[in-house]
Amino acid sequence: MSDKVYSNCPLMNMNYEECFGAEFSSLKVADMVYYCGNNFMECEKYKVRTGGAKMGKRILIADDSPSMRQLVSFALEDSGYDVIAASDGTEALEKLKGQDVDMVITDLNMPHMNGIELIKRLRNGAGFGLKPIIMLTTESCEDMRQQGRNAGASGWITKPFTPEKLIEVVNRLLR
Amino acid sequence: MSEEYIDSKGCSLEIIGNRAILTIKGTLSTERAETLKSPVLRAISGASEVVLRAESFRDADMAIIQLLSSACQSALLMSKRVYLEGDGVDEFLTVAESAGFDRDALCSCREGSEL
Repeated sequence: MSDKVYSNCPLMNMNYEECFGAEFSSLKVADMVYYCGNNFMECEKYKVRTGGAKMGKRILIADDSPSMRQLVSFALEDSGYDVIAASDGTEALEKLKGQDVDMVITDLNMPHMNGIELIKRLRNGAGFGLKPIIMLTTESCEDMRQQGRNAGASGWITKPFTPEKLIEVVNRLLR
Repeated sequence: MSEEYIDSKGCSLEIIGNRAILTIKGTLSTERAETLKSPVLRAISGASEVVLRAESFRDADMAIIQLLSSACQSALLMSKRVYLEGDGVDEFLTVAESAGFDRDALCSCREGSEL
């Protein structure tokens, strides 16, 4: 393990005295991992600071790409939203049970249950009502978009997209 | 501002303004892929330009190929500019393609070519 010493937590943007107490003026990488969990990027204090800060709004994102899920989650969390992630439509429905979620952002092509089917389930009996659902997909053909509209999608964002554009749409729909 | 995360094998990640540079040293193992996963994705999420720099991509473990390819592909889908720098990029792309990644998309990350 590297002996490099850090005087500031890169995630919390504060020195370690503020984060852990006066005896910690700096931490090595190994210490950061120890005090912040197996992966210091999953720092609980960071989650507490950002999770749900945006008026308690919670968003579920369904995407079968782990890296895309995490990148979109980071973008939403950085804007103050609480995020629940699912790898496909089936898992999304499972995770929605008993949860108060304000918006769903879903990919189209996913294993087990695709985005269109997920929207149909949400609009027909899953108790999601008229809350916004955004399709976030590489698919751009008009026929597929129409299927999305018919199923009940509130918006359609085509990849590639910019995080700024996504946040703008999310903010507008959750205003 | 520059932030740096270093694992035990010497990988480093620098963030300078909107540019993230991941420098990979030596052979990359599955264990290191796990360690680097979150910092890499966090860096990409906060950067508009990402450089993946290695002495050689040739002997990269499949786990790191999957990690970097997936992160790279996702970065492209989020309109970020991505570059691969180092030897063995062609070999890396061939293995990545065989693992199911979109070679055409990843080719836009080839050294010197901007998305």
